[in-house]
Amino acid sequence: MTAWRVLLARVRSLFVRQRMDADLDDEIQAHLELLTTEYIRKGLSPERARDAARRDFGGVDRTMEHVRDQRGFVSLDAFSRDIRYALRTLARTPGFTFAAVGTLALGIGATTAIFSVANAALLRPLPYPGWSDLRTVRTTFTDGRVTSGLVGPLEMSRMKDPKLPIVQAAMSLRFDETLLRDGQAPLTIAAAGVDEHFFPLFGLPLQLGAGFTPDQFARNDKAAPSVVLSHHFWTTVFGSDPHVVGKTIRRVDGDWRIVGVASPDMDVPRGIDLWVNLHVNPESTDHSFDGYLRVQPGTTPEQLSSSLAIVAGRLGHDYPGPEGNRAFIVQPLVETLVGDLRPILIIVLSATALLLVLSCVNVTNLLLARATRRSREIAIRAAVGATRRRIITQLLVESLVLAGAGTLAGLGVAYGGVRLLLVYGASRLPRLEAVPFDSPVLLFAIAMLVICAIGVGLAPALQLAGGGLERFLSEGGRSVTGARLTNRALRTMIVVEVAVAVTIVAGAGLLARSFVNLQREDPGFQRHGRLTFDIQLPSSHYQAPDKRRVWLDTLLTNLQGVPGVRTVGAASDFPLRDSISSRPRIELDGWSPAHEHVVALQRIVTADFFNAMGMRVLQGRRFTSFDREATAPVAIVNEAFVRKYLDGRDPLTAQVSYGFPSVNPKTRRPIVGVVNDVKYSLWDAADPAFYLVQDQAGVTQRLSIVVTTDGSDPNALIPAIRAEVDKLDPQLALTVEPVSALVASTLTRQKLGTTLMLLFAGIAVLLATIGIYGMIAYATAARHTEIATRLALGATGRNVFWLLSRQGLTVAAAGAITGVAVAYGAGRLVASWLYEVRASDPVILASALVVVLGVTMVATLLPIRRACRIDPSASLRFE
Amino acid sequence: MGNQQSEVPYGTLDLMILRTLDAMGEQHGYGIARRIEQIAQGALALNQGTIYPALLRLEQKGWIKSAWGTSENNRRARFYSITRAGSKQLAAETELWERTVAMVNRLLEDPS
Repeated sequence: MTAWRVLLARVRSLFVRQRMDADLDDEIQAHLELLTTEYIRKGLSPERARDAARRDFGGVDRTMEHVRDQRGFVSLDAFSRDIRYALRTLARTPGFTFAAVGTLALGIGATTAIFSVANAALLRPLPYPGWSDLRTVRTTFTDGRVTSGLVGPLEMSRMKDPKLPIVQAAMSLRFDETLLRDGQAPLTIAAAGVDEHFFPLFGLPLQLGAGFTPDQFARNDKAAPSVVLSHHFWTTVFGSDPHVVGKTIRRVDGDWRIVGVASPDMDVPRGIDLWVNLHVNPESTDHSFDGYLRVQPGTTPEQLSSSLAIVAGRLGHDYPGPEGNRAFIVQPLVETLVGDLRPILIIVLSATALLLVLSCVNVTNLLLARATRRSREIAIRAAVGATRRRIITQLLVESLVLAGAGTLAGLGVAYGGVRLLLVYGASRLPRLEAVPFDSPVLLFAIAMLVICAIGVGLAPALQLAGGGLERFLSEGGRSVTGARLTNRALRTMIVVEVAVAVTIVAGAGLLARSFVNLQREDPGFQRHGRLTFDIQLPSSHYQAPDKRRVWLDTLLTNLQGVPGVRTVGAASDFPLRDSISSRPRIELDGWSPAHEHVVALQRIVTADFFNAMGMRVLQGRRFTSFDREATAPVAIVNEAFVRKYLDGRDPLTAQVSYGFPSVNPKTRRPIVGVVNDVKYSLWDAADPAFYLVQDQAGVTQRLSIVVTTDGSDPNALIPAIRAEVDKLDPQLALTVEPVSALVASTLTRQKLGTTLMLLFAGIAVLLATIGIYGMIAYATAARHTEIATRLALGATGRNVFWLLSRQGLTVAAAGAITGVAVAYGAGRLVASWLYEVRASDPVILASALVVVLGVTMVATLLPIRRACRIDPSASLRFE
Repeated sequence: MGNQQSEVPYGTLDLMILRTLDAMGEQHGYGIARRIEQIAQGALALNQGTIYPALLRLEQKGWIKSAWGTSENNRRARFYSITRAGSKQLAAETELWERTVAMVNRLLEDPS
């Protein structure tokens, strides 16, 4: 309490300093006058009375100084003096200052840049009110079956139970739609069907219009569907038309009426162009929706999951078929949006932190070298009465000034770095369209500043101000000073530098290896010389399956005729597209184990699809043009299917039937071939799948078409392909892209992370080399006399060289071993985020060792060799 | 002043100031210094200036307060007076002081 009051009084004094000084002066003058009057009364002459009064009072200036000290903060006055002094000192050695500030700027800049990216992706609040209460909900099977994780209306309506800690539950259904425009090509847009709770759940007011009304969600609502436009879509397609509400959007399948424009911040599901009102049957068990929850503030994950477990249990009891053996998984909305960005950010952020350690060690080293040269100055200051604390403070202020300048420059580096990252591709990742420099980032930079200032300045300050100041003077400032102390500090620093460099290089190696593995991962199809595009056939025009088949046949035949095209195939869904594949139950030879749910992915392809994709038929035959509606139905399965369900028997003797929710016995057909596995996600192993041919299973409304070229550049074919589709149906929108680009785009995050790590590894090696070179040069310079003496006493240059090198390299080896241990430990931590790389990968660890030890050796041996070439007599005489 | 003078024992100046203000009411710095010197009867080498940091310290702690007034020679001067918290502190410190003195005395008089 009292201490608090004192602090307040002191702080207040900072602001009224001048008035307080004047008051104090008044007070003291009054005191002196009274005292003088007293002496005059005692009979002294006025002058002598004044002198006597001053003598009694003691030093006026000293008193004022003491009062000032008591009043405010002693250090503050001294602090600004120290800063001015530091600036002068640093300005005298521009080379040193530039090197130190530059090194710190690099370290602080890189760390701050990555932190600001992490901040934008992970820490920055979502724009929705009460965003931390928002969750996404998915479902999973508890019995090992695989599901897309989507939820159904029945499940979501059960979550509206007021006894649950859930305020609101909503869902959306994502789909692509084609919009028709007058005089322009049709436009593919991403639409989301939403229920009536969707917009209230996110709680953002609309930019324009009234939005959806509850009756628009009633199942007997017969009005034209209403849409709310996203702000982005409104600006880019409608030119921010303020009168857009009430207008209609034309589609092949009927018009949509615009009822509002969403807030610019509304972006769920991510990248959506517009929202449509859905009529959902709350009793439906159709699992095709994304689920969102707003939980009661303060609900713990345990509370939520235990209450959802009860919901799942009741659902399973009431609807054992579709809802049996299900469980719910909830995740904070922000994590769902950011996805697997987190591990890469954490790896890269740790790497930059290590980089910062390296820069700090290098600057410490520079300061230490300088401190030795300044020992005479320090000794004199100590001799004339500076306390040890004052000297340490002074030196720390100097490193604070360095770190401050480094931070300022580092913020510039960070700003530039972030812009570069965004240009390079980070802007395509969720939540990274913009990376703000907000208060968390600035706080982080300030924290870096303080850490650097202390980290960099403490060692030299303690060393200099440490005991035996008189030694500096007596030794004439010759740099034998503190040689022992410095040596230990030097050894530590070299160990740190080598260890950190090895860790970062090994980390970069792990990430690069993982990336290369992913890139080299055989997806099971050929990626070069191929184009792919998706087509969504509007249901109104192509309702009849026959009509679709005729249309597709014509298209495929026409495309086949385009010069440069070799093969054309089509499938219900294309690998790596994130499309939702159907996964029915299956039975083999009309039988499946009673308690096991046997499922497999079902894909419908044209006869030429395997050819067009470059897939291999491993057993049996491929589909042919003889597999038609009228001929016996057949199926082809993949290797995973054979491994999982037909282990040990000849697949070509088996028959498969399928259906959902229960198997339809009429679908039973023989397996006539086995094709190689195709990965639908590069990260995951292929799932069991069976293929049906389109002529027998029907043409789906949504198609992926793949076109193989005869070796020419696939991009050159794009206009011709567009023209063919246009000829058949000008109302279809399509995006044609090379298959290789599609594969590459799935690896954006990995590529970004790997590039950054390689960059950091390069910087780390560079910093370590410079640092070690500097330290060894400094250490050998300190042993100048020793070397000269050894040489003078008959040691050959080679003897001395090996003596010093052995010592230097032993230290480096200790660092290398530490580094390998740390790299291995860190690798273990991140192993689950790496693709088919082990933390103990000997090639990577060995390469990191070789690279770092190689440059360390050069950085160690060069200065030692130079030091051994001195002329002993000349050098001893000089000393 | 031929008397043997001693330095102000560490920490006792605050006590002396509090006691002075408690006994004499409102005083300016000069008055306090004079009073302490009178009581000490020349036994104390007090640089009168040293009471000013002490006054500020006590005021910051809230044990005394000050107000501007006019001195005997018609100059603007700051007058200090003890606060309630100061009186309490004085009582506590007096007791502590007495206990300390008694303890030291016993120690010094102990014949063994």
